[in-house]
Amino acid sequence: METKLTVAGATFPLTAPSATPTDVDLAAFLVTVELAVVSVYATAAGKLADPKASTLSRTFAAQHQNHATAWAEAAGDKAVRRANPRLVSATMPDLASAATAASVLGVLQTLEDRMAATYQFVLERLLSDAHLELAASILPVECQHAVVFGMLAGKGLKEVIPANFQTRDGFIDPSLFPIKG
Amino acid sequence: MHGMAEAIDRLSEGGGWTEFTRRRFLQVGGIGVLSSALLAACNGGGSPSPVTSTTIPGPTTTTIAVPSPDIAVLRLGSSIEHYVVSLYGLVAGSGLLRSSALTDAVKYFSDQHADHAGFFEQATRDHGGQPFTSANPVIGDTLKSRVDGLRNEADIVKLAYDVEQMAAATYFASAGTFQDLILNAAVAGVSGVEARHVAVLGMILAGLPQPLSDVPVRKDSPAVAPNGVQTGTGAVAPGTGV
Repeated sequence: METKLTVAGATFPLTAPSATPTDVDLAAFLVTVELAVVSVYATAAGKLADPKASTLSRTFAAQHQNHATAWAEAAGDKAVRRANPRLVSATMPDLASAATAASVLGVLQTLEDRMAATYQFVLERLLSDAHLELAASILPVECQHAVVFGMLAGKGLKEVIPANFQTRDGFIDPSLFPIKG
Repeated sequence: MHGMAEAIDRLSEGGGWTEFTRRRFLQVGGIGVLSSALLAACNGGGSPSPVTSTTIPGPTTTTIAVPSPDIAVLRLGSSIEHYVVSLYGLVAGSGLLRSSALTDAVKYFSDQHADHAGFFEQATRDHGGQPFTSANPVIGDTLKSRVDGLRNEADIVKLAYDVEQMAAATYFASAGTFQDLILNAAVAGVSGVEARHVAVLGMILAGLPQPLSDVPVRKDSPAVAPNGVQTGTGAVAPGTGV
């Protein structure tokens, strides 16, 4: 069932929670996505010479590792502790071709924006209070990561806060980025 | 709203109590007894909000009306947004803003908060409640001395940062408590934007990417996301001021 939310004349699709995929399925998916982000950060670190950007990058990578750990606990036996292979292969070419610090930061900003959108998508589907709370605790942080990288890349307000409402636009779709590739 | 039949379906779908907490069960199938004064407070004294009714089996059948707990959170949300809009309006007209970065941020954030207020008001109506359409008076009283004491851009950024943090914490604190599950995503969508506001202000306080001349670089806390997760520290409790 498709539900829509209207804010200031703009319509955002929300979807009523359903039983499929399950909370555990979504948790297992998020483990791989967070670990993919960690691996992207590891590659990006070598291309960020500025000490402030480098420090923030390492801090955020550690936070994503912690996110993965939390979701692995939620996923239990279904947890697959490896980076999402398709997300890694989709992101690395952009990183490899980024020739300047600003463009590297831009890749990281885009990735974090996709993570925020993904958490919005996940929040529309989770059922358990504990999982909803965990997802709601992480979504704002992905948003903040995106802003930091965008500002360091010289982006303006409307580029780091593009909408009045976080939507799932650009989310990492579990059906297109399966856990095992 | 989720009825008893749907609750039973969820319990039998394999998740059991791990998928459907005791709190959710009580919200759907439980009972509550509230004083008429509290009911009036939740409704803002206006038209009565729709309630979930349940029947207690026994020698005599009694129906107790329970107002939706979601309305309290939604009314708090619009009251916070209206407060922030009023704060930014005051700041914009104070003559204290010097930098274009901060002037632009105040205007942009204010417009977004106005839209958030509209969202919370509409959501309140959609759930049968009376929207709260003005600034939260308790928050206003609590922060009055800081607002009256604003003397420069640095004061403004610090106050705005704290207020945006309060909003983000408050919306996070509601996660997993809604009777209408859709509201978890909807309110989180608002909190994501508040978190972005926090990040912009945090970067300004950290002097990133370049320091503003009138805002000393803050060295006592990291720019953003120190914990890696949003917490409820500083959250305003539902029902406060509304």
